[in-house]
Order: sequence, then structure tokens, then C-alpha cells
Amino acid sequence: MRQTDTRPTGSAKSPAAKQAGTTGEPGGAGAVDGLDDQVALSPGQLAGQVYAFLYNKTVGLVLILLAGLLGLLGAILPQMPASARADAQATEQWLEQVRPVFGGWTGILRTLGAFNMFTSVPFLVVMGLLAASILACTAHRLPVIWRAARHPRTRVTARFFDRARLRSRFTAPVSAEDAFEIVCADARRHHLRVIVDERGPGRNAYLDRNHWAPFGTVFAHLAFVVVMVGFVVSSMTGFRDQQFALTVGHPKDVGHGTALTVQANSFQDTYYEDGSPKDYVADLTLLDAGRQVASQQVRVNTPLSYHGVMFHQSYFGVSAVMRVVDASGAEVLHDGVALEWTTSDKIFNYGHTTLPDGTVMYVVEAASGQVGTGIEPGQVRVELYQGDATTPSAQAVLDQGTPGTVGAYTLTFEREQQFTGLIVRRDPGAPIVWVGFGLLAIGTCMTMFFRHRRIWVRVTEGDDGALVQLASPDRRDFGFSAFFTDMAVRLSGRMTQHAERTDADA
Amino acid sequence: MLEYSQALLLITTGLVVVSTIAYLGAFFAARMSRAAAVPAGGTGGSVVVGTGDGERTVEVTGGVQRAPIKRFTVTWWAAKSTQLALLLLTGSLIARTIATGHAPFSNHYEFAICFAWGMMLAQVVFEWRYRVRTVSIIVLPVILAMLIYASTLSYQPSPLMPALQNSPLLTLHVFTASLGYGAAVVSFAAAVMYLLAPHVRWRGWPRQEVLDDLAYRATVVTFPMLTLMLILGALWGNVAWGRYWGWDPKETAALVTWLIYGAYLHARVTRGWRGNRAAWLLILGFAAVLFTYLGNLFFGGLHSYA
Repeated sequence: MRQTDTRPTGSAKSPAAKQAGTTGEPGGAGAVDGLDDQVALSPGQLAGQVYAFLYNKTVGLVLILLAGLLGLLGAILPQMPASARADAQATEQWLEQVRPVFGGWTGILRTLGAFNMFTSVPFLVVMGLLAASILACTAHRLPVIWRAARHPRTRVTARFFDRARLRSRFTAPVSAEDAFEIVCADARRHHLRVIVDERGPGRNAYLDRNHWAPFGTVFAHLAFVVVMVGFVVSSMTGFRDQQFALTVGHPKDVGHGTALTVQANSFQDTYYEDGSPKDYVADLTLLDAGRQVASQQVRVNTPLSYHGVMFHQSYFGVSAVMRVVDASGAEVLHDGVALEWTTSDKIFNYGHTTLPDGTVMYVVEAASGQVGTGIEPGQVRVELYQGDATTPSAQAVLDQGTPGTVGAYTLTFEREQQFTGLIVRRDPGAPIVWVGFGLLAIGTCMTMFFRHRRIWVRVTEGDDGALVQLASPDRRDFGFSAFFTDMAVRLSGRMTQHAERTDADA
Repeated sequence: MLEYSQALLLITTGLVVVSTIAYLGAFFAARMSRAAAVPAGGTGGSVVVGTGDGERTVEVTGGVQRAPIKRFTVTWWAAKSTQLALLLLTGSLIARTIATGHAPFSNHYEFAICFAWGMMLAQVVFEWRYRVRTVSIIVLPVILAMLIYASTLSYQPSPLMPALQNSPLLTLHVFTASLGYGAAVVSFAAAVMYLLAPHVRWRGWPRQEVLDDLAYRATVVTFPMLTLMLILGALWGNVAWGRYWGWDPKETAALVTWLIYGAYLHARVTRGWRGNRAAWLLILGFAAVLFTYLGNLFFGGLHSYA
């Protein structure tokens, strides 16, 4: 019966440079190739080159696409379960399962990490480089964003108003002073920041909107690194017990350095008319060093949380409550053994536990509807294994309630009882990930929905009135282009109205 | 109530058929009316705008004015038909919600309808906002295909499995997916039209720069929505399954999709990527969207119900 568990039911110059006696100039006396230049790099220069490599946008782009490609492969190719990765024999069995599909490529793909993509060296290297690239890009870009937000360039050349991607000019029958005031008032009314530049020629202003938005990219990029740090913390700290089977009425220590004991007082599963599960709920009591600290009904979506330790309802099934007495008459076990596994031929359900002396006890029952298996309803078969043996040292079929001697033990199969399968975990990385996700959401929305818009204005006195020039270097986009056009038309109209009012007053 | 939902869905499908035929007819007619291309829209060149008194003008270079839409033309009626289809599809989803007692996000059929709703909403909003109606000839057939696909699935409501009994997160997670995927189809259509533009000299075919901008604008909606969808999914996974990320096939496919759109935005903003390369990246992105949606049919995993 011992087999792979399938699934639960539920700066120095180099000697060469010295020898060549060069100063590092290409083609210098004695130089035979261009390498002399590179070996003359100081650590600082080398660090600078690494930094320049990392903040190179093309490098970042390639890394993003590589991460996507590896992720896609990971989604397409079957991934070996963690339980199989942890055991060499189980690994081989799993590989045999996929060998018919991949044939001779199985070994190569295994070596390349394709079957454990998300813990493989290539994936981790790409993600590590991506994090480094993001940090370098952010460090490189931050001063630029800061200057653009806090100390924007407010004065531009006359040529700018002739060459900018987006530009407008019109003459209005008002004085330059009035025209400039109308421009500034209109800008403020439309929630643009106005910075007047007193330097000539003419009257000049810099208008912008959402000048803090570019910091969104900083948040979003740092978020990615924070999330990755959270991933690392999650994988290296805390614990995660994926299959914590808890038999109703039989308390169980959580372990992992905690003094926690959890008990299922009851378990209830309900079903829809079509037989699909509607709800499963365990009434749990939690003890910390023997003192009750929590009691809650735990269902999927409503886990129990205590001081960072979470208890999630995951699966359920039937346990065989076993009493084990050793040769001296001492009770060494009285607990439920969750029959949470099914053999690959679907004939037997089984579970296992380890006795205090290291003996592994398997308890087997016939799966529902299976007859002629040698295990009748009301019976279980018990198999005892020593060490890594693959054949049992002793085994017997036990009737419910009747003690039997198996090896050095007297075993009693008392009764069947429901168990609740929990995921018990403590994940110090999760709060870090939430911070990262928060930054990502804020940063992405800031960047995407509140773009930084800039317009430079110059108003000069002309023969026919004020010459108003507007210009923006921002890349074209329909929304801003329309806003810019609307603004120019609106300003011209306001200035004309202003002139008409002034004429009427006069 | 379920029957009302189905009836509304049927009418919606009919209206989308009408809209598609009307748009295609209008554009074929436009093509036949003049051999030479007269590109529509655009942010290039200058516009000179009268300010009312007929004497003064405002010269704007690189700007654009939103042209008024002519009423009662074939395309106007097609647009109205699409808008009405959106209303009816919304009604269908509401009726289904009332009938089943939960938001219509719980199985593959329901998400097919929501995906179609998201695409239709994006089409209507982008058409209203940018006045580029030509993309309809690609967007509407995709919507129609999705509606027809949905009709091949059983519309009988399936009971909510325990993990799906988290109404706030289920609703927000799938709602953001619908909006993100919906906008993605607009960027996809604009990208396809961008690539076709040099070969299609139809009257009314938008300028490439307009299509490029439209594709970008749509991605600006897609990317944050996908971000929120992933975050909400992680929150939910943390509650229901005790982990915020599990490399489930659909999760991974969604991440790959997010990375492709992220790569597009980086390429465009930092490298000035426009044109064919950017368009191909968007087509790849939409392929990833479809793969994410349909992939769980083949790969199973925790999202096997949707």
C-alpha cells in the first residue's frame, strides 16, 4: 500500500594589461585586442556599467517578455506538485506519467526546470534581474520626475512654439496683459497649475495638470519589487500545512513552534440537489498552551485567524479512529487516521500516521461501492512499515470494535468519524505582498488615469492685438489634442467677448 | 425570470447581427463610393477654427476637433443598435442575477456573457469618446462570436460551490476582468486595423496614428483593470485557499496577459514603440486574453468552473 500519494479525497589592471604595458587605449603599444580597454575598468566603472545595463529600457522590456514567456510555458506544461518534488521516488513516478507525452524530451525538460518552472533557476534569474532592472530604472528616473513635478522648466524658446507637436497661435483684439490674464484664469478654472515666468519676451506661463501622476510609475515599479520580496519572505519564513486532517473530537497540536492545539467539535457538509457540495463547515476550538483562545465555525471563505496563524477549511472526509497499545500495555495512539488518499485504481481509500517509535501505520478501507476487495464494510486493513521498507512488517484486517494483534501492537478500529481537512499556515510575507499590491493599484491607476499634461503659453503684443501662442511637447493622444484644441478655441472666444465688453463699456 | 434573461440575450444577439451587417454595409458602400482614400479622423495637420464672428481664426497644429456625428445615417443607426444591444444585455444580466440569486459570474457560460458585455461596453464608450466607429467592423464580430459561443453552453444556472460564495470579491474580481478584457478587444481591433491600413484604401479608414492612439487608450483601461483583477483574485485566494498566489494555470495565464500589456506600455512609453511592432504586441495580448479565458477548459485548476 505504500505508494505515491495521489490526491486527497476531498581596480587593478590585469596581468595581461601590465604585461602589455598599455594605458588602456585601444590599439596602444603592445595591445593585441580590444580587451585591454575592458580589463582596465575600475570597480566603480564596472558598477556603473552594470547600473547602465539594468536601467536600459530595452533590457527591462526583454526581461518582461522573458518572464511572460517562461510564465506561459509554466501554464502550458504540466507542473510537478510540491509533494512529488520533495521525494526522489515520487519525482520519478511523476516523470513516468508525463513521459508518454514528452518522450525523449522529458529528461531535457526536467533538467531545464520546465516541470517546476516557478522554482526553476531560469525563472528565478529572470525575475531577480527584472527586480534589479526595476530598481535601477526607478533610481534613474526618480530625480527626473521630481524635477519635472517640483521645478518644471517654465521658459521655452520661440522656436518651441513653432516646432512643438501640439501648438496653436491666434491673435485676439485685446491687450497682451488682458489676454494673459484670461489664459491664466481659464487654466485655473480647468484645474491646471499655473506658474508664471516673469522673464520675457512677452508674458509667459507654464500650465500643467496631474504633475504628481508620474510618481505613480515609481509606486507601481517599486510595488513589483515589494511583491517579489513578499514572495521570498513567504517561501522562506512561516509555515504552511496543506493537509492538516483533524478528526472530530480528537484534538491535534499545530506544531511548527507554536503551543497551539486545535479541536473540531463538529463537522457538517451539505449538498445541492445535483449532489455538488453546497457548504462544509467545521466548528473549531483553538487552545494556546491549554487555554482556549478562539472558537469559530470555519468554512471556505471564512478562515479562523489567531495571531497570524490561519486555519482554512479545505477538504473533508472519513477517518478511522484507531487505538494503539504497545506490548507493555501503554496506549501510544488514540486518534483518527484520515483516509484522505485514494489508490490510483480507485479501489481503496487509505491514510497513514507515524507511531512514536517511528513505525508507519497505514489504514486501508474499500472505497465506496467496491466489493470483493478483502475488506468488508465495517473492517479496515492495517499495515505496519519499518523505516523505508516497501513491504509491510505486519498486517491484518480488523473488525470494528475488536482488538487485534498486529506486530508488536494491539490495535483497535473503534469507529469511523468525519475529519475536516484544514490548511494551517503562518505567512509573514503576506502583509508585505498586500503593501505591494496596494502600491501597484495606486501607482497603476495614477499613471494610467491621471497623465501629466503640460502647456507653455506666450502672449506678446502685436499690431492687431495680442498674439497668443500655446504649445505642448506631449505625445499625441486624442483626448489631450481635443482638450488643447477646445482650449485654444475657448480662449479666443473669451478674448473676443472681453474686447466686445470693453468696447461697449467705452 | 431566467426565460426573460434568455429572451433579452437572444434579442441582443440579433441586434449585434444587425449592427455588424449595418457597419459592414456602410463601409463597403463607402469604399465603392470613392476609390481614393480619404482618411478619417487624425491628430496631424492643422485645423483652423472660426471663433464666431467669421473674421478671426484659431490655428491649431496637431490638435483635433470632435466632429459631430451625422444623424440618421446607416452608421448612426448601427451605433444606436449597438447601444440598445448593450442595454438589453445589461438587462439580461440583471434578470439572470435575480433568477439565480447571485451575480452572473459563476461559470463559463455566465462569464462568456459578461465578456461580451465588457466588449460591448468598451465599444460603445470608445465610439462615443473617440468617434472612431470603424473598429466596429472587427469588434462586433468578436462580440457576436462570443455570444454564439455562449449559446452553445448550457444556460441553466449551476449552484455556487463553496469557494464561490464570496459575493463582494467574486463580483469585483470578475467585473474588473470583464472591463479589462472588454477594452482589450478595442485595442486588438485598432491594432489589426493599423496593420491593415497600408493595404486597405477605403474611404473613412482611420489614419494609422489615430488607430495607434486608440489602441493605446484602450490599453490604458485594460492594464489597470487587469491589475485590479489580479489583486482582487489574490485577496480572494488568500481567504478561500490560504494563499495569495498558487500558479494555478488560469492565474498564470492572467499574469502572462498582464505582462504582455505591461510590456506594450513600457515599449510605447519608454522606447517610443509605435507602429507594427506595438500592434503585433497588442494582438499577442488579445490572444493571451482568449487563452486565459478558454485555457482552463484544457488545463483544469482551481478556475475550472469559469
